[in-house]
Amino acid sequence: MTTSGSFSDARPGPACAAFEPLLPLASHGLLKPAEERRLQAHLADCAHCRAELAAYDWLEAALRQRFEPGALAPLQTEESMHKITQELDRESRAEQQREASVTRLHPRAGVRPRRVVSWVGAMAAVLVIALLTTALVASRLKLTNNTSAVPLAQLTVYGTSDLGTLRALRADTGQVIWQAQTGTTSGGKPVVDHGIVYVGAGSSGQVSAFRSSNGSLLWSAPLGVTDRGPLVVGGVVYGYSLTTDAAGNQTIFVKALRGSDGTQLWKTPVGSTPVAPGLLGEFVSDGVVYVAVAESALPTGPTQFFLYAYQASDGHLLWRSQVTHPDSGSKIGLAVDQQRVYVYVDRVYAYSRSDGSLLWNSQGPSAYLGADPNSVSLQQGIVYVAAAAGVSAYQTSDGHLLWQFAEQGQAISIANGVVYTTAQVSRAPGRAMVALDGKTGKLLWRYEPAQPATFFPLVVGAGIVVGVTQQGMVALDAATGTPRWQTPVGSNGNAPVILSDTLFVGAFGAGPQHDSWGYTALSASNGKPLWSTPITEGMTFPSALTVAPR
Amino acid sequence: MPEPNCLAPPQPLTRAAFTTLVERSQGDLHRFLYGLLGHPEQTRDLLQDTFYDAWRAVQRGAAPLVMGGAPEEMRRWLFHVAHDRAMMALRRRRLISWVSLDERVAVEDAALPSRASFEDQIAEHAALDVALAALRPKDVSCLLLIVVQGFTAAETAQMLGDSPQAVAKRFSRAKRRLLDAYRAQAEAPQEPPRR
Repeated sequence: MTTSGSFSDARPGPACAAFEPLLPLASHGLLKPAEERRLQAHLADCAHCRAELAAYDWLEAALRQRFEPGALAPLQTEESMHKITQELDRESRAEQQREASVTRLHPRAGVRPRRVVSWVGAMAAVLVIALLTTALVASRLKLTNNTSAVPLAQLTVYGTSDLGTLRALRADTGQVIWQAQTGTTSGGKPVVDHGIVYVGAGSSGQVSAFRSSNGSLLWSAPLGVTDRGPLVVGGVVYGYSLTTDAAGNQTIFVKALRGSDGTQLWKTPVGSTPVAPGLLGEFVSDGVVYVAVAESALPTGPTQFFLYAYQASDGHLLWRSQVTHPDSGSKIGLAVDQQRVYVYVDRVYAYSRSDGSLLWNSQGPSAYLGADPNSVSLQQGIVYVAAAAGVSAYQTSDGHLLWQFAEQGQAISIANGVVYTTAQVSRAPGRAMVALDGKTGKLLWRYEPAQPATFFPLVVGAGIVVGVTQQGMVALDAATGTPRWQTPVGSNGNAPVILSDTLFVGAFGAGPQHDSWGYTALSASNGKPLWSTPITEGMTFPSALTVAPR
Repeated sequence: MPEPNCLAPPQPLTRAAFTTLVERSQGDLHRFLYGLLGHPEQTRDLLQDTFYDAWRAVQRGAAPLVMGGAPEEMRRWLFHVAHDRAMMALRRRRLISWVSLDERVAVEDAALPSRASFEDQIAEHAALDVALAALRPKDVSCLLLIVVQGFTAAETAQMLGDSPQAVAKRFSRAKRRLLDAYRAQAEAPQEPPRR
């Protein structure tokens, strides 16, 4: 070995063996904080390990030099694309032969006009999709309650992969009942309503509807939706479209489609033109569609932030209210109860459902860093707001601050009057799970794992609270915080669904060796896998799952 | 009837955009595949296969190879496909003896810049090549993606179909084995490496 690759003659000490696996990771930020501290302390006293660390650094530099640009003979693009060119030539010849052998009665019949979307429009669409948030907490809780006691044999699990394959699996065995191509990629969480499975991907702006019994495609239409799935309420699909006129002005339209056949029921423009709109949130409740929009007068006018309420049956505008928040460039939290619409930006605002008048506003959790779509939750006359800075609880009637839990950690889940959230440990947010009394904010229990892990997200059900970590899932007794079980399944994954004493999750850890991406069902009581169905196509990242009765 | 100028699915990459993608990524992919395979001819074949797969994906309108798709996602997609192609080729190679028409070092030497430590560098490269050949292919992939291409462990996990934890373990093990193999090589007489 040459130059800096020379090795020290220092002999390893008895403690060195424990640090051997850590040394190669040291310069890549792959060590846990505790490991990092232990290693640094050891390195201060150990010449052997310092030399080993230097050798690894040298090795990496040598590798980079070995494969640096210019290390290999230069390539011509024509050579890289040789097979493509061959294929295109072959297709072209085949096309010419076909055309020569067919008498064309109608010039180019059947060729659909190409849709032209401006670059700016497409980018704006992506931005809008990214900003769109959906709060379907109420309807999804309802689904959970309806299916909590249903035998597994009567449930179906629906999930998509990032190559757009939608699968329906038996909830009791994991057997694939049917699978279909959605025609989109980055498939979001499926939504099931009235025997129809809807899949929409935020990046594609396309919603597809499939018959839940056999996976046959019912319809597919361009309709912007959140990346967590289409907003479907009572057989109607709500979404938006973006149009650009000749002058480049863009308008968002809120649309409602009939779920059974995709027919447009109504469409209404949101905001005044010309605007550069950003759709920040929407919610459907009791026959009213609430939409939060940021509007900027072109080209550089100030941004204003409005809340709209439309009649869900025909799109008729019921009221419009301006939110006095100065910065609209982020997502918002939105929730609705019988009397009020609650909006969380940097403050918490409550509007009258009947006429949109502002009822109260209250300071939100400090250090506002942008609202998560699920940041506002309602339960028993209390509105809970979760942010990076912590959790705050307000009285819904007047906005009175009941309590604050000012430890960093954004995950929140509420059940039976208890708020489950994460807390910081040694300045690392999310490293502990805590349970707080929903009315008083009193700490009920706190759990810190022996090995540092970040819990996100949290899901409550079947008497347990489940935290998803990089290493897998950890389940605690919801009442006491006592660890029940942990599993490598579900690492870095989506939030699991808990139904009928079973956890369903689409994540890493599927398969007998827990080394595949796929779908897994586990017993809620002991975490043991009931079945596991790996998915194998392409870069297979499963979506969050939806579980629904057959 | 579709609405005029309304929100539409992303359009597939145009031929021009695809060519630009090839131009920008072929060098990195070429070096990555060569690091895994060690044979110039097979490397070029698989590079063409990788771009052919990409072109097919473009024709399907598959993300992220669409207009407006994130460049870093496209890069990950290409490396993922190249990795899979290389792993398949290496599995086949176990069954079929591969005879390269070129000697690896002889071909690549021509591209190396002239330096005072030229001989040292050749010896160093040869030792590294042999040391790399002693590792498991997936370990080499992990090393090249993280060290040479600068991907994070999470991104590498995505491309290799592993968990980030598995990739961290693999990375640690691969570096240790590479160092051991390199030390053994550096002290041994140099011969042109073969895999």
